[in-house]
Amino acid sequence: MVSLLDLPEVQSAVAPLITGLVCGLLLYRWAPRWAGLSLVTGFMTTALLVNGVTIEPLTGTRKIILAVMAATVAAAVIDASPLRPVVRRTVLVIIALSAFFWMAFRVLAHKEGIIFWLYSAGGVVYIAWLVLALDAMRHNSGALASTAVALGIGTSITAILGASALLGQLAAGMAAGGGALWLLLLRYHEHPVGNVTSFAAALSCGLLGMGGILFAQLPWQVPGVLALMPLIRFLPRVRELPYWQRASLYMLAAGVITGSAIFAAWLIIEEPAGPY
Amino acid sequence: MKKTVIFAVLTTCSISGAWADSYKIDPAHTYPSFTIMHLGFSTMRGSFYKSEGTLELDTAKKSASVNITIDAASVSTGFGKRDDHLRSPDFLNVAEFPTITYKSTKVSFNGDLPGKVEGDLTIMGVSKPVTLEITHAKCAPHPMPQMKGKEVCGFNAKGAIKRSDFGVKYGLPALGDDMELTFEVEAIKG
Repeated sequence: MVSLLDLPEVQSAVAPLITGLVCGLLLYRWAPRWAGLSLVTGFMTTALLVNGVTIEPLTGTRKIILAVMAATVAAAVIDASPLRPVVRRTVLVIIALSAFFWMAFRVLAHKEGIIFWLYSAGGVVYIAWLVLALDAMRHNSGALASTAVALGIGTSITAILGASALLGQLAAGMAAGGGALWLLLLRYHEHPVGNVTSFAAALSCGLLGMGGILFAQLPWQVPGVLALMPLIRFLPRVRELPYWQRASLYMLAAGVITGSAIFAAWLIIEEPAGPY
Repeated sequence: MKKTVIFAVLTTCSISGAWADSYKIDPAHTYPSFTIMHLGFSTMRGSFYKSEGTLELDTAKKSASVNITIDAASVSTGFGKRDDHLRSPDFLNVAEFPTITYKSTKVSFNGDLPGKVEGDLTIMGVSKPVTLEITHAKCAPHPMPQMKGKEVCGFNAKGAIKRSDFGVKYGLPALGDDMELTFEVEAIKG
């Protein structure tokens, strides 16, 4: 018997959007500083529905879930600490890269020579870039939420095309949580969301994208396109517009990049995976 | 001194009967396979086309052991894109866990040949006890001239698992949890 919560659409879109909205509304009312946790709530809702609470066997996918949980706690501590920007960024990158090598270790251990270095360097560059680029957006919540949604959707659909629905669903959960935050920000406007949002979004999408390459068949070019996403914050003259227009423009620009990444994946993967 | 040791070893061997015969799994005639319910509609079948291992068999003492290592990436259901999906983290996660193994812990005999094998099946690093009922067994010299009369043992064995026991939970309950396993194995002596 298949229940409502077993449906992929519910697991990775409806449920995380609802829990993200509920969490965000409560936090904006009682602890607005942490309202960005609505994004992680969406991701964790999907993780719970598709994976349950089990961590055995400790696969790369389960490491991603654990890493995002731990990283969110670390980001909350960092948000509450008076760290200099360079120290904060350094700590975030070290945490993110540690998570990447923890996730990828079992696969990288089987790679030799130039292949090992290409996968390792690719992961380091992609994840460090996302962490630093999204960290730079943490006070531009409209751009950050738009980036999180579009990055999540792009990572999700391309992962599914690359033969892993599981990774795709987790990325969709992050996108839905980001969508909840994006909707809430239409009401609460420029409320700063901090590293609990930026770091969680960057790390989850970074690890899921690299997971798609290492564990499934996601072409390496796709994260290269998705990496352009944070550049939307440089859209000219946007900051002079009313918030809802600004957020919509950011979302539109991010959506173009997402569409490009999906199109690239579609072209490269000659016969995309589907429900079999 | 050296002669004494050799004599002692030979004497021990002759008293205990003989060593168990060692067989090497023949990859060209060994196909672990499975069935699984697809969305409640029909039963899907798949096989693994690369495996290796050993069989130790002592018919006089009615003792045996078997170790099989399966290349998880060799899974085939006859449809390439579905096989890609089975190799992904959703199912067998072959990038992280490239092999599936079965190691016997106890073999019961039915007459002169094994009738039931108890052992540990390891999928994605998770080991669970799995019992295989041997439905067919034959040991005899190989009839083909090019095999020069080498002793061959062949077995058909069946067992059942729940994939969720091994942490393979994607698609539950729509895709079946219960899987029937079949091992068609041939092993060549020496």
